[in-house]
Amino acid sequence: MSKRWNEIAPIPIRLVYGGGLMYHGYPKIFTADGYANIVHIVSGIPAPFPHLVGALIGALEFFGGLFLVSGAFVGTLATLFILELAGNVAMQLIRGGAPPPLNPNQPLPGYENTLLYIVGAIALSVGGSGGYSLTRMFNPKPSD
Amino acid sequence: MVGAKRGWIARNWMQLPQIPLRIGVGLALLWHSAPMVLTAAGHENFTHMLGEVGLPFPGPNAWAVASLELAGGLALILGFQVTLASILVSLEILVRIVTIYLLGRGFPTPLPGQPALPDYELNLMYVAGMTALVIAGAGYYSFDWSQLHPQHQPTAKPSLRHDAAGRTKTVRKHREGMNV
Repeated sequence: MSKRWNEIAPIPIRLVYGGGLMYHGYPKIFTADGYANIVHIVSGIPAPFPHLVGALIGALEFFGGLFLVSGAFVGTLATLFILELAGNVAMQLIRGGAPPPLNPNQPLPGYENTLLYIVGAIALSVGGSGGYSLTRMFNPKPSD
Repeated sequence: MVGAKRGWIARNWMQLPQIPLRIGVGLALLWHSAPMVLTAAGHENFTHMLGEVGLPFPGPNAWAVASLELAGGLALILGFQVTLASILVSLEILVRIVTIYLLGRGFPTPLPGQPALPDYELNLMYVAGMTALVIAGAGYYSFDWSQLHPQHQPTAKPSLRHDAAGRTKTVRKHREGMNV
């Protein structure tokens, strides 16, 4: 019997990658210096509406990570994460790097972390939430 | 939907998520380990860090660990013995986390201008990605798949075959990946 991307395979990705995104997003929206840091980075890229974009990035990372861990809207959120991370990498490549963070403990993730986040998000967007998820709780039969 | 009526992508969907995961994790492993194996400065830095945390025989151990990660990264990208490579590299990372980061002397300081060891986040992402690959297998476009299923190579077109009466019939291939 062949192995396949079954109901269990996405779970470690959801837990670790979702937890990592929550870890990154929490200070951006719940602490003053974290929010000031992401606004500083976004305005230095430069992106328009840095206050709004900074808050949206923080909310997407924290609540999106929470939803990944719990297994709801995984495909949609994974696609949004791919766009966010790819946009981050593209802007850094175009500008030759991100501006230095205000708080040295809260830099943007490096290329290696970003690459792993992107490929994990692609796997989740293709493979779905899997078992032990809110999606499966409300939709017991795997969608086909 | 019935599997036979769907297109190739839909029929083989559950062998596809492994591909970006294999390539991404493999490339990241190569990114880390290649300088430690292929450059004198990288090897010296890794040996220095292993010596700083108190590991015996830091030189040979640096060669062994870096070679394991390099071979593991190549194996993941090629899809060759993915389960074995994932288990070995994951065990190495977990042993490093427990014995050095948690119970040992913590994160060693690299030589000036050289990269540090990966932090908890990156290590856990490696382990999570490789755990998923152990569960799900290598997926399509891998040596493992071609060895296990030499007659079921991915192809977009159904093949033609003649039955016992000499009539031509269409044969749908590789139903292993069907999401049914």
